[in-house]
Amino acid sequence: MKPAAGEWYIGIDAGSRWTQISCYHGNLTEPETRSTVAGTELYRIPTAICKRRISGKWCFGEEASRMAETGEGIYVDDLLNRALKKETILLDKEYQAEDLLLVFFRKVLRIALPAKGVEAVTRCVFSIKEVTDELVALLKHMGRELGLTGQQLVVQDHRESFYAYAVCQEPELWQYDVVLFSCSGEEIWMKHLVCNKKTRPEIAEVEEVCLGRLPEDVREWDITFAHMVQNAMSGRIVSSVYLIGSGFEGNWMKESLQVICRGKRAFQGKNLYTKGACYAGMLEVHQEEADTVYFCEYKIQEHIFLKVTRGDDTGFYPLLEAGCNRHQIEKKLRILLEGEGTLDLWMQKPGSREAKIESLELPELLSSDMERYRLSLSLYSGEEGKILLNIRDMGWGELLPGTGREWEYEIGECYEQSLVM
Amino acid sequence: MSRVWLCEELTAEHPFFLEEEKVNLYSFEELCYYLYRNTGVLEESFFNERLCFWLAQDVGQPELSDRLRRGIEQERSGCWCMEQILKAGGFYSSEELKQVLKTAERMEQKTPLERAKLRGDRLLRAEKYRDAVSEYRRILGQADQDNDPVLGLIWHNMGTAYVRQMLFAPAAECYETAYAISKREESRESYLMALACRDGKEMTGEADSLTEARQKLTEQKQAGNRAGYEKMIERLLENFRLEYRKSE
Repeated sequence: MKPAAGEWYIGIDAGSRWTQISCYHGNLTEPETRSTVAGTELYRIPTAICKRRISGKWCFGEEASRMAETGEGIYVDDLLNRALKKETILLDKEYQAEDLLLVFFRKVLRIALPAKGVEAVTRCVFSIKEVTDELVALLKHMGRELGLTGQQLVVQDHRESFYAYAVCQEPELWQYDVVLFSCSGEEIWMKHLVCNKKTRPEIAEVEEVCLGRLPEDVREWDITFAHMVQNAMSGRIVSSVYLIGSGFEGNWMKESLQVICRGKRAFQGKNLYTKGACYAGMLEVHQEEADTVYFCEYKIQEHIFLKVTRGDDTGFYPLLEAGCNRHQIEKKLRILLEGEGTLDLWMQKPGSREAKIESLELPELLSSDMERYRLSLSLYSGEEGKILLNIRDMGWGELLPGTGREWEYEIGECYEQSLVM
Repeated sequence: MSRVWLCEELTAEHPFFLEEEKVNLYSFEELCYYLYRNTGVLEESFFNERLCFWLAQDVGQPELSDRLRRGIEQERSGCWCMEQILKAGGFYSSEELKQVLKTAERMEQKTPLERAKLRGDRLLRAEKYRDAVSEYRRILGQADQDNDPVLGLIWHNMGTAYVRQMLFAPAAECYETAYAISKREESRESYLMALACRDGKEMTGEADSLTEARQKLTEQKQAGNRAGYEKMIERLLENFRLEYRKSE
């Protein structure tokens, strides 16, 4: 799969310390990570900003670090966490951390934008360590301020970016399981991608576990990590292994590399999540062509359909499709309803032939066989992954005003339930 | 079991103004609803360039708009135009479409005066009495012949619109003219009744709903049922208020 003509994907790995940005379009063989210094491979941009003392202008990346070192500017780091905590920051005057984060993202985004600007971006995907209500709200706000529409903006976690990266490689690299080891400090984390070959499309899931800490003595790192890898991969057929993070730098892996490379291919890098985020954007747009579909706790687990009539025919209209991000549900539509005062939703798990019906009662909607009501449906995400449906009797405009009566329902399985599964 | 239809996403930025009803349409489904409900009274001229433009520009129906334009150029009937729109909407089954088109075809065979009368009748049925009178007056002002029996019916119905507003003097004049044209017994009776009401005479004959209500009230009063009496008065007043509001 490749981006179609005119498509432009941006992937931003937004971390508390570092941010990376890549773009992907039809003229590239793979996503291209952008550096703040042209011609270099300085992909890691500190999530920080600096205000020049003399000119009062904002700068970021290498320039900001240099300004801070020489004392020419006032430097603020850890912007993502500070914005989440809604901190007020004192520089030459008081600033809201959220506003500074926006200045930072505006500058970062600029290095990956197409010539036609934000409107020409097909998807801008933020990849973060963990999807939380607070972080999603913050990034949605950032997206709006950056000029991105709800459809253009995607928020996902590193597991999903890893999945997207892995399945966009040559098929033999993910024929069986794919494993990613990450080490930023002394902890080793493993992400394990498994695709269910029995379903079409294959349902992919990523499991994440902490394998432990590396010992204090650097000489023992290699053998300790080799044991960790051996234990973690025993009994599994693994097609490829990825090593990411600064912890793997320093040429200390000897024995462990032999274990890792035995019968499989291994790759080491630093920018997998940002590239994976670009791939994830493309997979979302071209989901129909994809061989896999990714599921995790923030994905909707089942399709939600409306049985709709058109002329003499009936069919099913997907109100929500399994695999969508719960935290990004934003859909509005109008329907006509005739008959009993209930709205039936058809729920179906992917790969299942059976559907269950959830009937939403609309009390006080005077039901009559002859009468057709026009209702507006508004789907949106609530707290803790809840999917909320607001139904309003909107009448027939100026021809026949509606009662304006509203009903609100939580639909589908809730977040907690899907965690249990 | 409920049935659901999906509406087109677009809402018109510029509404389509219905001159006759003096209301705006903002979406394609509103247009379909309006056509379906007013099959019998729409003039062929309703399907015009202004409608085609709106369909293409404001509600995202360029293909339908082109089809209609071609049809209008080929002098297709209003019935055909309506069929194209209702089919494109998909809000009605083929059986429902068949019925509604049959009505439309029947209407197309009527004279322009008959169709105009139906528009006034629709307002009368909707209890919009003042609008109905204005509509009937407009039709009469435009009528070419003086002795068309339909004119008699229009005068009669205009009389009824006046009666519903308790305006018995003009009502009597309307009924009188209606009788002069069509010689219908119904118009003569209504004329006499309107005259009697105008002069404040007691009505004899069949009891109407108001007489019945008065009788029931008297019974309640005589029986000493104060609560029932007051409740009934309240209900009657509410009905009068409702009728008055509708007629305004």
